[in-house]
This record gives sequence, C-alpha cells and structure tokens, in this order.
Amino acid sequence: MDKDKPIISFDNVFFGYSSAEDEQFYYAVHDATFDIYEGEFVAVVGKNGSGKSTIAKLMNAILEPSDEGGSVTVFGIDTKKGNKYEVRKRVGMVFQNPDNSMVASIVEDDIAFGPENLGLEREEIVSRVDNAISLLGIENLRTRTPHKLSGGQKQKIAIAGILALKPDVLVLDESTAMLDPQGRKEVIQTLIKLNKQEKITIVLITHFMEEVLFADRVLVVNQGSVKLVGTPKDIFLNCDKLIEYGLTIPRLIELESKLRQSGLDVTQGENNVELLAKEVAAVLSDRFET
Amino acid sequence: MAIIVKDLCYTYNEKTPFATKALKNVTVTIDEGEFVCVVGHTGSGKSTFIQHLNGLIRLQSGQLAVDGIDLCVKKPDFMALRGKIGMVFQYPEYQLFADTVFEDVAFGPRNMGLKDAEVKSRVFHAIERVGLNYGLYAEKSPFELSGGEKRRVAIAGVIAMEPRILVLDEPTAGLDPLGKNEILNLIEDIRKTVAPTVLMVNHDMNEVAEHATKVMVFCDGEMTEYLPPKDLFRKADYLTSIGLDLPTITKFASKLKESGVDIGDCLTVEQAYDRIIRLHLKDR
Ligand SMILES: Nc1ncnc2c1ncn2[C@@H]1O[C@H](COP(=O)(O)OP(=O)(O)OP(=O)(O)O)[C@@H](O)[C@H]1O
Ligand SMILES: Nc1ncnc2c1ncn2[C@@H]1O[C@H](COP(=O)(O)OP(=O)(O)OP(=O)(O)O)[C@@H](O)[C@H]1O
Ligand SMILES: [Mg+2]
Ligand SMILES: [Mg+2]
Repeated sequence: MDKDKPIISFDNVFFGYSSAEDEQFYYAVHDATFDIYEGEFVAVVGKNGSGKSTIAKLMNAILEPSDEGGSVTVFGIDTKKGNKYEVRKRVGMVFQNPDNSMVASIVEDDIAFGPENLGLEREEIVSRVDNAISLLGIENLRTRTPHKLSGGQKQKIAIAGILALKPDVLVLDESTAMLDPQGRKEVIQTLIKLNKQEKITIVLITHFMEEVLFADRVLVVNQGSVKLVGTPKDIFLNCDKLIEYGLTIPRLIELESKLRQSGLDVTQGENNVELLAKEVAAVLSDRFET
Repeated sequence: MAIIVKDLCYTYNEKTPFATKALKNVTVTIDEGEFVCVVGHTGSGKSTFIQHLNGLIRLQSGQLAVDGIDLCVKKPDFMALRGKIGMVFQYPEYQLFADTVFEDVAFGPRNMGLKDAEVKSRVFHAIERVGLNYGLYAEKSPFELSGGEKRRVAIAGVIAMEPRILVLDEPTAGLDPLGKNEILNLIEDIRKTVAPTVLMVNHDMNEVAEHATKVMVFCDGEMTEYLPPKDLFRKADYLTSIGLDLPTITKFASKLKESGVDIGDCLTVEQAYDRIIRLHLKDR
C-alpha cells in the first residue's frame, strides 16, 4: 500500500436518493471523507442501511455526489465532471446477487461479454478470458451453463467477468453472503491472490467480521459516513464503538478481552487461534511450575 | 415425536436426462422441543428436505409424518399441515406484498378462516413478539422498513398462524451482526412460547454451536449425521472433508489441548472462559 497515492478520494461527500424537496428526504451518504490507496485490501463494514452499497456505487460513478455535495475523485478523475466510462473501466464492481448479472448460456461467453463490449480485438478477448479463468482456477467450468452452478461457482464467474475488464480496483458488495463456508473461503483466497500477485486494489464490503481480518485497513460506516478507520486490530480494540455502530466483535477477541479483564496476560486484538492457545497454555503452566 | 422421516428419496426432473438425485434415503426422527440446525455444502439437499415438511414438494418415495399428519397417504391433510408448520424462506422480505404491516401479518390467519377478532389479536401478539411496536408499525408500508425490520415482519406473518414447528431457511443471511443476534434471540424466544420445535438451515457454525440442540448434516443428498453439536464438532476431519468448518471456539479448545491444557468440548465463549478461569484459580 502506497500512502502517497490515493486512487479513490471522497471529500465531504453527500448523496440522497430522493430530491431535497421531498418531505422524507435524508442523505444516505452524509459527509463521507476517506481515501483508498493503491494496492491495499480494504474491508468496509457497517449495519444494514448504513450506506455501504451507496458508497460503493459512488466509487465507480454509477452514482455521483449531490449538487454542492463534495467530490469523489478516482484516478484523478472527478466523477461528476470527468469521463465516467474511464472510471468504470478502472473500478470493477461485483454485486451481491450474481444471478442477475449472468447473461450468456455458457461460462466462457459470459466472461467474454464485458471485453466484447469494450470493442477489443478477438485475440485480446480470448487472452483476457483465458487469463481470468486461470486466475480463478475455474478451467473445469469453462463450458458449463452458469445458471446450473452452485452459488460459490457463480460468484467466481462473476468475479472473472469483471477481471476480464482488467480493472485496477475490484469492489465486492457482500459477495460472500450466500455462500457455504467452503465457497466463502475460496472466494476470499482468490481475492488475497489477486491483491498480492496481480496488485489489484480490493474493496470488500461484508457483514462477516471474521473476513475483516484479511484486510490491511477497515472502514467502519455508520449513518452514511466513515466513522472509524484502522487496521483490523485497531478496529477490534474499539469494542464499545463497534457495538454502538451496530457491529459485533469476533468471538475470539471477545474471549481475549474477557480473559484479560480477569488478569490473564494475553495479547489483545489478535484474533489468532494458535497464538491465544499458546498464551493461555503458558499462563496456566507457569502456575504449575511455581 | 414431531417429525418422522423414513427412506425419503427425491429426484428432480425424474425420468429425464437432467435427473438430479437431491435426497437419498433420508431417515430421521426429530423429537418435539429440539432446535435442529441443518447444515451442508451448497447443493447438498437442505432446501429440498425442508420443503417436504410443509408439502411444498410432494413425496416421491419413502415415509414422512409431521406432528401426527401422515404425508404418505393419497390425499394428505395439507390444510392441517400448514397450520402446524410455519415456514420462513430465504430472504422472506421479498415475499412481503400488502400495503401495511398489519395486512401482511394478517394474511395467514385470515386464510385459516379465523374470526376478525381472533385475527386481530394474533396479529397484535405476533408483531409485538418479533420486537416491533404494534402502534408504530402496524399501519406502515412494509417497503419502507429496513432489511432487519422486514425480516421480522415476515417471521411475524408465520408465527401469527401459531405453528408447533418453525422452519427457517438461512434466516440470518445478509443481516448485519447485531441483526443476526436479534433474529437468533427472537427464534429462541419463539421456541419458548409458540413453537417448541425449530429447524433452521444455517451456514455459520458459530451460530450452530450456540443454538442447536441437534445438528443435521447433509452431504450430496444423504443425511450423514444427526447428533448434538458437541458430538458433531469432535469429528473435525470429517467436517472439513465435506466442506464444513468448525466453530471458532471449538478450534481454539483443540489447539489449547495440543498445547497441553484440556478444557473439554467447548462451544461458546462463555464455556471456554469459565473453564480457563476455573483452571487458573485452581492452580493458584
Ligand atoms: N434505490 C434507493 N432508493 C431510495 N432509498 C434507498 C435506495 N437504496 C438505498 N436507499 C436507502 O439509503 C440508505 C443506505 O442504503 P445502502 O443500500 O447504501 O445501505 P447498506 O449499508 O448497503 O445496507 P445493507 O447492509 O442492508 O446492504 C438506506 O436508508 C436505504 O434505505
Ligand atoms: N428446481 C430444481 N430443478 C432441478 N434441480 C434442482 C432444483 N432445485 C435444486 N436442484 C438440485 O438439487 C440438489 C439439492 O439442492 P438444494 O436446493 O436442496 O440444496 P441446498 O443444500 O439447499 O443448497 P444451498 O446451500 O445452495 O441452498 C442440487 O444438486 C441442486 O442443483
Ligand atoms: Mg448493501
Ligand atoms: Mg438451500
């Protein structure tokens, strides 16, 4: 992560879905300010209705800030004034329900759909599709019908379709919500690989506090703005705030902090099963020896 | 006995080239009062199984009886069945349809042919039971509610029919962490008051560990296990081999055992904490 290079910047952004004259009007995004840096893995958490999906849509210019509602800058482009097409090419978005985005009757055509729409040469399309398929390890699904695949498989195909567009940033909006544990693990492993090997910046919106641990930084969203920013450890040490914002802490961290409060010397905010087991064992066996 | 299943088999698109065996010889007896969590990889047959319970899927072969209603006979009593079993589907909020919360919740009881006064009383109690204030919510449009509120309304619609058995397909999917806890606490409360028997499909092993009295494991259409969670989670290798995970606290307890401290089978944070503290104090 390169702190000098913000690639997405929100500056005092406001956004409302209805018009300001509407009686029920409110800002779904309310004075949001934050940066996303090149090459980082960012997790975004927040309770239902806090504004996560709206923020995601502002990132790739599907939505733009209200008039006088601040600015979103993506790779130097102001999404209100600049080329939205360029923004969408660089920031790829995977939505929650992949079923709605499957268009073709076989997997490889589905993945080729985006690049074809970019008007690329045939050879380039083929090479991008091949590349996306091998990155996700879905060679075996190439000629299958997307609709008849399991949820985890569909999700990988949706990601492959976006990857074939060669975005610099991949935004995933609750893309693991419907998967079984194995499917979830596979998708997360894929994201880590894309981040580390392909240097793709990842923005992962999730309700699973356990998934947050894979991120370099976490953004906590509440009432339309980013309330907390930090490493997963920083965030989890802020239990009171998390609970105030409608979130929970992972179970292991809950155990850590209870043990600490009872005077056991264990490290806090680690959420590491092995480390905590070693530390607890050490505390208990010390007692045996003395 | 709440539910008796014997040799239940089901094939989608039977006798076509696309035939898929979704259930293979499922045999199980579920006692009244159990909180059963149904787990298994994607496509393992969980939804197909639970849709048999309220007659949504017709029996192909095998035997099935739900709270004394036999589903093997030529003309099963579906009316009686639907009064006994309450079904909450995945993302039930998409099925809300009426102009007001009241009308939505009243739909089921009305269909049961209850008198207006009885319908009204049931709707009132169901809405309050799911933690919504009747005065505030009854006349609202369900479409103006948040995701968690909509899900509560959907559950209220089912418990207004006062089922003895409540069946839920992934009731916490897509909810924020506190929303998940609220819905799970609500289900525990319903279990104590309205429907003593609960079946819940769930992918989150931490939630399974904290709530289930029995876990039903599906793998490739077979029901491979039906046992208490602490017994199931001893079979770590088996669970991993079929694509399932262990609860965080169980993993921790087994690592701790490898490091020479045995705190037994643990399912929840509280259990692990209590046992560690007990050892800690004893050593002193
Ligand atoms: N198309 C829309 N029209 C009007 N209001 C909307 C629309 N989409 C979202 N909202 C409202 O904007 C607010 C923020 O919604 P958003 O979808 O961004 O939340 P979220 O954090 O993604 O929630 P969830 O975790 O439930 O997905 C909510 O109050 C929501 O009701
Ligand atoms: N309507 C259908 N037509 C044909 N096959 C189906 C149909 N519904 C399910 N199947 C198949 O039956 C098998 C069992 O599916 P089922 O929906 O019961 O799985 P599940 O355990 O509920 O999975 P998930 O966790 O993804 O919801 C799968 O192989 C699935 O592809
Ligand atoms: Mg959202
Ligand atoms: Mg299912």
